[in-house]
Amino acid sequence: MPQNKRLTEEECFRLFREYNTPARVIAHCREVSRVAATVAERLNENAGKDLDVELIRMAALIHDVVRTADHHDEAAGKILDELGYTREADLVRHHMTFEFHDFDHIDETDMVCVGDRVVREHEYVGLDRRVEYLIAKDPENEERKNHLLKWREIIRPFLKQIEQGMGITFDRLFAPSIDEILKQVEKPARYIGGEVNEIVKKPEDVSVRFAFAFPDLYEIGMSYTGMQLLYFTLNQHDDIACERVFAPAVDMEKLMRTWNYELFTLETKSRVRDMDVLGFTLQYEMSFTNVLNMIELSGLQIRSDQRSEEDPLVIAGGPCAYNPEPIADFIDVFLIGDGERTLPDFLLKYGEAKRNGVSKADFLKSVCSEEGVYVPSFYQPVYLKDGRVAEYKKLYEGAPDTVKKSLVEDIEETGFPDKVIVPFIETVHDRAVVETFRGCTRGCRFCQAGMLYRPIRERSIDSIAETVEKQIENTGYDEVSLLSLSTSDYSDFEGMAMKLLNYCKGNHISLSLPSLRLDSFSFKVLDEIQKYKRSGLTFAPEAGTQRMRDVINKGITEDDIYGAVAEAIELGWRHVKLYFMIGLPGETYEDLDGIADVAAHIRKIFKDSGRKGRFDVTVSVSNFVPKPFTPFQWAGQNSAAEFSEKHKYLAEKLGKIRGVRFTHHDSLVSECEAVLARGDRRTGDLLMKAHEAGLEFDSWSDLFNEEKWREILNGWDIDYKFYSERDREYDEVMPWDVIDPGVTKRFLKSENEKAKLAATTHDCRYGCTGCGVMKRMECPFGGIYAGAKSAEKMEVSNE
Amino acid sequence: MSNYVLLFSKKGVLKYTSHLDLLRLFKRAFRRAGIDVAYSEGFNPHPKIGFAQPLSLGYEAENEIIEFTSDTEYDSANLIPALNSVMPEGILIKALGIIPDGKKSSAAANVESARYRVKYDIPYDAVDFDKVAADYMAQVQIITLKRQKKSKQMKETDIRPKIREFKALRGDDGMLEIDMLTDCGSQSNLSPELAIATFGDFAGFNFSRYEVEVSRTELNFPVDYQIEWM
Repeated sequence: MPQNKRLTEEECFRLFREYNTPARVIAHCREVSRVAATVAERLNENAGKDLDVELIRMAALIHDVVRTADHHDEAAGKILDELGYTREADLVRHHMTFEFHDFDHIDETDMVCVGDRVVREHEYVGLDRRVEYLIAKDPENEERKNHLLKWREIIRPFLKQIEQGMGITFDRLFAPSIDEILKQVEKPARYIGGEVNEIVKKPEDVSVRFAFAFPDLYEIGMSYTGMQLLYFTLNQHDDIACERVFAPAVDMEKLMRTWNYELFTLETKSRVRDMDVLGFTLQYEMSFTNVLNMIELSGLQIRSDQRSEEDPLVIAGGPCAYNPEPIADFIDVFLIGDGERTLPDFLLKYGEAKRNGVSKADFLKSVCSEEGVYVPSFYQPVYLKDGRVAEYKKLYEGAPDTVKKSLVEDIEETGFPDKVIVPFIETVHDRAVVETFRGCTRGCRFCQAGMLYRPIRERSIDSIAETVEKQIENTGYDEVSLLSLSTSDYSDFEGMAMKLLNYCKGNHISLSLPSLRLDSFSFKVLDEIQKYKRSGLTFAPEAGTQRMRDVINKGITEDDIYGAVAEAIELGWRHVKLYFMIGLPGETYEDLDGIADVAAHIRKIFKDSGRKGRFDVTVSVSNFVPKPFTPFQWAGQNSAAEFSEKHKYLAEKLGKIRGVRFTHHDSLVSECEAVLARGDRRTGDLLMKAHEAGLEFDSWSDLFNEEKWREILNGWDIDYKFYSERDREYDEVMPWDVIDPGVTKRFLKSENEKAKLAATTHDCRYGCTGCGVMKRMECPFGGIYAGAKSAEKMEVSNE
Repeated sequence: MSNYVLLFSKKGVLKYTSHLDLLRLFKRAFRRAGIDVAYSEGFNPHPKIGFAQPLSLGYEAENEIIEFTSDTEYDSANLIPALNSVMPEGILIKALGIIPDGKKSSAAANVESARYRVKYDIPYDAVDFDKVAADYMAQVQIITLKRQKKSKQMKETDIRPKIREFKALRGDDGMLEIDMLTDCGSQSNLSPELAIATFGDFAGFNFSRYEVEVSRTELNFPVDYQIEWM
């Protein structure tokens, strides 16, 4: 009998065929072989072992060749012995019963056994998942179960030693490839990047790497123009790499957690942890739990004070950063205001500081007095006995008393991208987008954006038209939308609309004009761009009675609404959607009746028009959430119970009108939103509890977990109604007082007082209303129509 | 006005895009490349671009076809590089064909069969797969459950008549590959998934579906005219 013959792969295959080894057993053997050989290689490299990797590979490959035979280990050993593969035979004989050597005397047999213990069928799963699987096969058999559990605990320390020797855990070493993960999830294209116009830079070619995180799904984040604007603005700098990261969907997250996959960027698939800065855009409060979850999925400590110097700096911006306090425990720095102004410089400075070994704390000290920079760790809130904020104590002398929002005075100068990333999959807004102006002059008292983005700054018609054309050329989109808070408030709207319409008509491009004022010109434009009225028209009266519309300063009358609807019907629209808010300050049930009256009257207009066929009216009601830096920031919110009562009332009233559909927002979501919108630093605990309870995607009605949220709100040691339902006094220190948005508190107070009298304030294009932003810069459109008669009309959207 | 056919491959991560994604991708690529595509008449004109039988999400493909109509004369020299230069990585235009004047019937509508390459993570030499494949095909019937389009009920169906060829091959990396030709098109269509599932059971595999790689290598569309390939 020949001795020490070495088994080859070909010989293994020959034996598989000879003994009719089933395909699934072969697949199992191959995985055990791969795992055992890989572990051995690692130990040789890392722990100075001298294991015979090829012997291990072959012995493991052949170990179950006669799996279906009795005593298959012995039988296989015998076959191999007879062929002269004595060493392999020895390993195979022991693969079932072997007791491991201690780590110092580890040998080839241990390797084959280790491989066999962590593979289930043909997949590496690790010890725990394999034992779970084995128990599940015969769950009633207590004896077998105890035996398996006993063995698991005997093997575990040995595997731990091997992991230490390898310098890597089994799970990491044998995690499925990203491709294997992607094949198991819904919409895998969310995670692949590689879209048209994506910008990929080599890490070594830049001085700072920024992970731009949108705390929601890809389809939502990619529809957000601000991200595209900042992405291209940042990547214009040779020294900055801006990469994107989104919240993984629930199925993807589950796999990532199973395999310890850390959150990665789409551009280079880098771990977020390896980036220099991680930045979140905070667009809505109900995405906050996703922010915490994404920090955790990045393998970072969620609380800023527990992260180390090596971890990326975590920053945040966007409208919700204007009250940074509820999320301040988790964010190192907030950048308040127009990001295209502060962000590039901030990132470059951080990159330089990091290279020079400057600590995070020292870096923050060096930048904290710059415009728009708020470093929460430099401020400590002090509370009164009753829970209100007494003051903010500065922990660093050099920190500013108030942080002024950063402000781009001329948005033409910072430019607008002439391309956007074109997603492979359909997103919410899948089209070219050009911003026409920033800010709003109307002064609706509930509207936070209308206060935060002051003053109005327009782009010129020429640059808008040029950007539209370039974006279409560079993206291939067949639809373009204009972005602003109120499309037809553009100072030369007719000139702009005509120019764009001409271009679009000639090129098979459809033009989307959100929130138009319903005058005759707008209707002409709408009729032109929407030959068939598939989408319906959306109106936003916001409140049901004139008194209430005056309270909120929504400068429109009933005649405006009904005139517009009549014209829409005339032009062929057969679906009208109406937006209202309930729970506004000073609301009575008469105002709710007003909502039903408006809907009923619109139905009547259609009936009186003598036209036939369907005519649908949708009444969509949202629950008022008081927001910081609005005239209503002092107002208490309705309780969830009050909202629900009002929904019931409206459902009954509207249910009686034929052809009217009623939808409304969830009461508890609105209450949570209110707590997070006007919370203080203690609200961070609530967020942390919500995160620990596994709450995420709270803005998705199908994923919002009402029961758990209720539990967390009620179990909190602070009464959450303190934040949502409480009326504040003017002299109360607000948690967001440290931020200066340009608009003064004095203005907000005076607007709130006028609201109580149902007195309106005119659009400030007809004369300055003294909001205070003039202190910051000359307001280019303030009072441009002074002396002219106010011509405010109903807004409408063709979407 | 001319009708054109493009032959293209779809590989890499692009396999994660759906049929509708691909349709959008092509429309946009035509526009980026400045290729003049004719529009339909009527209230809501849309570009005259047509695809053949949809490719499932997750599949790669070697030779897919897309048709379009244009008033401009194109040849491979002025069209293929222009289109490829605006394509994301993963889509490659391989050839341009002209459908002769006056031929109304589209190539895409005439697809009749398709060839697939299915890759398994098991060595070809470890089992006599030639025989397993032959035995699979030698079955009189291959019965499986198929969801009915209208009723959504699962119904037993025999897929054997729809499998035209089925062979085991040794891939470049020594692993098993199945090459199969099946009905594909409006007349008779077989979802390759059904063949993959039934063969997996037959061969005693327990691979999860995501462990099997599929590529559509060929679409056959017999037409009664000569497409002039360039």
